[in-house]
This record gives sequence, C-alpha cells and structure tokens, in this order.
Amino acid sequence: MSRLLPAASLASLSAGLASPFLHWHGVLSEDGFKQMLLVCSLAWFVLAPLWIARRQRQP
Amino acid sequence: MAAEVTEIVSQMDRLYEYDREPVAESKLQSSGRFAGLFAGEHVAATEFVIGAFFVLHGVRAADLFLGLLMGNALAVLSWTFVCAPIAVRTRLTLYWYLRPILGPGLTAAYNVLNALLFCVLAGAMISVSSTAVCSVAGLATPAPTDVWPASLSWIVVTFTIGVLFTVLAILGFEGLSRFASVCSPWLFVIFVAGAVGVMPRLGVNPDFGNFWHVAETRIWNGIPSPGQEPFGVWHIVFFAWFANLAMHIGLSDMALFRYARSWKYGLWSACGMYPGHMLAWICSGIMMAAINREVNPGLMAYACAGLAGAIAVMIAGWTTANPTLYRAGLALQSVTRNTPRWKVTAAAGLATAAIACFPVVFLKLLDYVAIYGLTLMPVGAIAFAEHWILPRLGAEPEPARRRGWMVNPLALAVWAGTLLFCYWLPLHLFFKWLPGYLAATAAYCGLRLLERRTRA
Repeated sequence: MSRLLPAASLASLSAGLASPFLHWHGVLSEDGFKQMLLVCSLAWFVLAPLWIARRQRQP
Repeated sequence: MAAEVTEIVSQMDRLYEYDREPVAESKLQSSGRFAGLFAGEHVAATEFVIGAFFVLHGVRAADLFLGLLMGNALAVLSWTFVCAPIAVRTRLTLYWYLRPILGPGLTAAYNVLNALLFCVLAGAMISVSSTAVCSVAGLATPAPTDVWPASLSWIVVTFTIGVLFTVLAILGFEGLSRFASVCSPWLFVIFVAGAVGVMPRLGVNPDFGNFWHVAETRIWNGIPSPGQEPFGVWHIVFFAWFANLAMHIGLSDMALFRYARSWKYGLWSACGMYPGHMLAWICSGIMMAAINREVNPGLMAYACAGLAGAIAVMIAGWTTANPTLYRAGLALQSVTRNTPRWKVTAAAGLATAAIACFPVVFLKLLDYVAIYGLTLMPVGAIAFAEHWILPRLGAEPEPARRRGWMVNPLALAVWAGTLLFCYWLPLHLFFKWLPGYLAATAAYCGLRLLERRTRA
C-alpha cells in the first residue's frame, strides 16, 4: 500500500497530462480528452491526499 | 493618540512573537524544500489572466519568449542577490528587520497597507473564480472594458463565492494549506493540457513543425485587441521581473529565506518562475487565442480543458485567495483592539467579496500588480540601504531604535516622496519602479547622512 498510493497518484496525473497529446495525435476526440482529464483529476484528488496523509503518519 | 498607536504596535508584536528570534541553525531547510515551495506557489489563478492579457496586448511571439526568459531571470537574480543575502545574514522576517529601522508605528502601517493591497488581489482571485462558475452555468460575464458590475447574476455569484472563500479561510487555514499543496502539480497539468488540447483547433501539426508559424500568426501576432495598448519585449521583461516585486526587491520573502543555508538558495526561485511565470503564461496565451481572445478566464479554461479546466480556475482562485485572506485578517487584527481573529477575517473577507464584484479588479490585473509592487518597493530600498550601503558610509544601524522614534521621519519622507516621484515620472507604469527604487535608495542614504551631520 505504501508504494501503491504514490504510484497510482502519479499515474493519474501522468494520464491526465497524456490525454491532450492523445487528442492532438487523433487517438481521442476532444470530448474524450476532456472526460479523461476530468476522471484523472478526480483520481488525483482522491489518491494524493491519502498518499500525503499516509506519509505524514509515518515516523 | 500615542497610546493608541502603542497599543496597536504591541498587538502586532504579539502576533509576530513566534518569529521574533533569528532562525536557529538546527531549523535550516534543505534546498529541495525551497524548490518545492517556489514550484507550488507560482502556479496560481492569476496565471490564467496574465498570459491571456499578453495576447490581448498584441505581443509578438519572439518578444514574449525573449521577454519572459529575461524578466524571469532578473526576478531569480533579485531573489538571489537582494532578498536571500539579507535574510541569510539576519535570519529575521522583514517585520522584525524593519522594526528598528522604520520604527514600530511605520512598520505597523506597512503591515496594514500590505494587508489591504492583498485584499484587492484576493478580490481579483474571487472574480476569476466567478467567471468559471458563470461560464459553466451559462450566465453573463463582464465585458473587457467593464468597471462596474454589469449584471445581478454576476454580483450574486461573485459575492457568494467570496463569502464561501471567507468562511473556509476562517474555518481551517492549516487543512486548506495542505489541500493547496495537492492542487499545485494538478494545476500545472491543467495549464499544459488546456494548451496542448487546443493545438489541433489552432492548426498546429502533431509533429510541432508549424508551431512557430501558428504562434506568430494566430496567437502572439503583434495585433492588440481594441482598447488595449500594444506591448513590446520590454513590457514583458519588466512585468515578469516585477510580478513578485514585493517578494524579492520588497524583501517579503525574507520570511522564507531566513531558513536557507546559503544565499545561493535564491536560485531555486527559478523552479517557480519558469514553470509558473513562463510556461503557464504561455499556456494561457495559447488558450486565449483558441477562444478568439474573449476575456473570460473561466470560459477559456472550460472551453479548452473541459469541466476539469473550470474546476481548476475555481480551485486556483480559492487556494490563492485563502492564505491572502488569512494573512490580511492577521495583520488587520492588530489594529482592531481585542477583536477575535475570525471577526476581523470575516469583515476583511466580506469587503474583499464586495470588491470582487467590480470586474475592473481582474480586468486591470496587470496594472494592479504593478501598483502593488510599486507601493511597497520604497521600503525594500530603505532596508537595502540600511543593510549594505549605510554601514559602509559610517552611519549607525537601526536609527528608529537608537533615537526612540515611533515613526522614522526620514523613511516616511522617502516612501511618500518616491511614490510622488514615480507618479510624475513620464514613463509607462511598468517601467516606473526601477528609477523609483534607485531614487529611493539614493534619497534615503542622502537624508540619513544629512541627519547624522546635523546631529554632530
């Protein structure tokens, strides 16, 4: 779990960053890119606070 | 009157009691922490507006890139060679460093003025957030030339957001600060995503090959929008330099750098300047061009990055306004006798929410940023002169403490005189601060030496 949370948080942020490039290269539609960005954003806001809280609890 | 001023000063001293002593060696921070702090602080709601306005002012692409490179380098050098060395040598906040120089009364006045200027900046953040809500809800937003609120819906939405931000600032600053640290990297992603996402709309090929051509013809094409004055490379250089004037030349960031092991840590400010004040400004300019130069940061982010973009504008406004309101509440608490901090913050927040209803505060943000830095700059010049120049000329340090002055009359004269000098200076607002700073430094040194001679 201690490695999963940071990995998942960073993956969500990276996927959000990748979404406009996928749209630019024609892999995703404009709506698809915006939806992917929104989902990745929500994932980041769920995972990152958990990661930070866990890190702060560690001695 | 004298008793009242003394009471205000003692309240303000109690407020800053915890950082009265120089920072101990054991409390010094690593360089990585400074890099993180700067990277987190300089991607804010203002970035959605500033980069967009450069497009409206008809900046050419080459001028923008060169201007941002130079201006941000000058800002980094100002932190490194002006602010950080004084902070590292004294290990004090600006408040405690100024107190024996300006006198307790003038230091308190400086603090309150800073709080009031911060409130207007927080008002601009609330306005920016309001454009996001109005855009998603399909409500009317102000026109680029509006000064007064144009619609009832704008007033209701803006004031409600202002009240909400105020309540959150009162309820829990610490928790919200931690939340803000989560927001910073995400906001940066939204800026980049919004700009990259509109590349196909602007006609940029996926191989990036024609980007410069599109940049020169469709984004920063050198043609200002109606009613906007044209900007050249020097406007950009000076704006990027003075965007944080109060922090580096004005020495507010002594509070930060007193924890640095070396003055060279000032160079870490580049981690905030180049991603925040270069890349984010470029991204918002690209987004602005994609929505046909409509002055609406909320709509811009919504149209370019979808709902995540609109949420980003809202959250960026909140995370910027929240500490601002908190600090304003702290500073103003000292001049309101025995009033609980929450009441002072509530009053400051409501006044800020009312200010936010006037769209001029964000539509004239560039000018306001210049005025904000200009107003506080003379105090930075006085502190610089006291630290580096006057000791070499044989002047005694800490004049207000030695003479028992509540207000250092020389500093007050230089501060007021510099502002008058800058007001009458026949230069563009962006360029006034530099001659003003040099004049303030020279005038203060001259007055101090003259005063010493008359005493002797």
